[in-house]
Amino acid sequence: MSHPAVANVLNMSPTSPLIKVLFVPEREELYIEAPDGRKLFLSLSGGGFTPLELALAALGACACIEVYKLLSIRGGLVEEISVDVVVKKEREENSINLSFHIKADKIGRREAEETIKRLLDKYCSVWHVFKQSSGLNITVKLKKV
Amino acid sequence: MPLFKGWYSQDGWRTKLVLINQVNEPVNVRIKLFEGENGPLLASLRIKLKPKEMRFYSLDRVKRVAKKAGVILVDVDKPIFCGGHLINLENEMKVIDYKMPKIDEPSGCC
Repeated sequence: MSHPAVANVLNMSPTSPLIKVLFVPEREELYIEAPDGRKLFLSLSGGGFTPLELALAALGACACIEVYKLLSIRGGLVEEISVDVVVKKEREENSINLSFHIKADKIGRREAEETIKRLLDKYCSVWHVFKQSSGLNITVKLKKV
Repeated sequence: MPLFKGWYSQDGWRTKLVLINQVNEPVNVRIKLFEGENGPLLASLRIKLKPKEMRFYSLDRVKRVAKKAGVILVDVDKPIFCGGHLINLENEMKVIDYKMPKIDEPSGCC
């Protein structure tokens, strides 16, 4: 039932991720490398993503993949999922809001919302990392195909 | 939480779902009925089972699946037993009883 593109992403993920990060202050550049040689280059001065933005992107990406799997296994035909990840700071406490926009058929808004709220916490590994330090909130908007 | 998959038929058969709450708390059950293996979603029902309740739910009550047969998905938030009981309308001695298998939830992506 899994989409081929999603299957590729899943196969790429190592079971125990290890990431090396090198920062060159002089050039304001970050070099990130995985053990198998995959590389990512970030230029903080060149208008690239900041580390926090990358972390939020990782949370959003993981959440999208998990939501796709959770809805697909329940018979939903998911065409597209997007998520807005917003960090809110209130009285020195961070909370993260995930607002999902889903284009799908064979699934209702209420079911999608219930499934995501009930199960995302269980399956999204990036979520668990964030959960230690932040409050996480979810909203779901579903658009029928 | 468990997700069960089975087959119903209201086309020449009468299907009853057997739902048994195995815990001492209320359980929310969502039932989705599709047409055939990959057809459209015909009906989505929500049922709440009382603690330890055993319920036989006849699909005769669901008009949208009259004369249809297909996949049934049962999504629950706590462990239950979930089965199907099909009776042939022409020969009521023909009966199929089965336990719905659980579908494994996908493992994490990272």
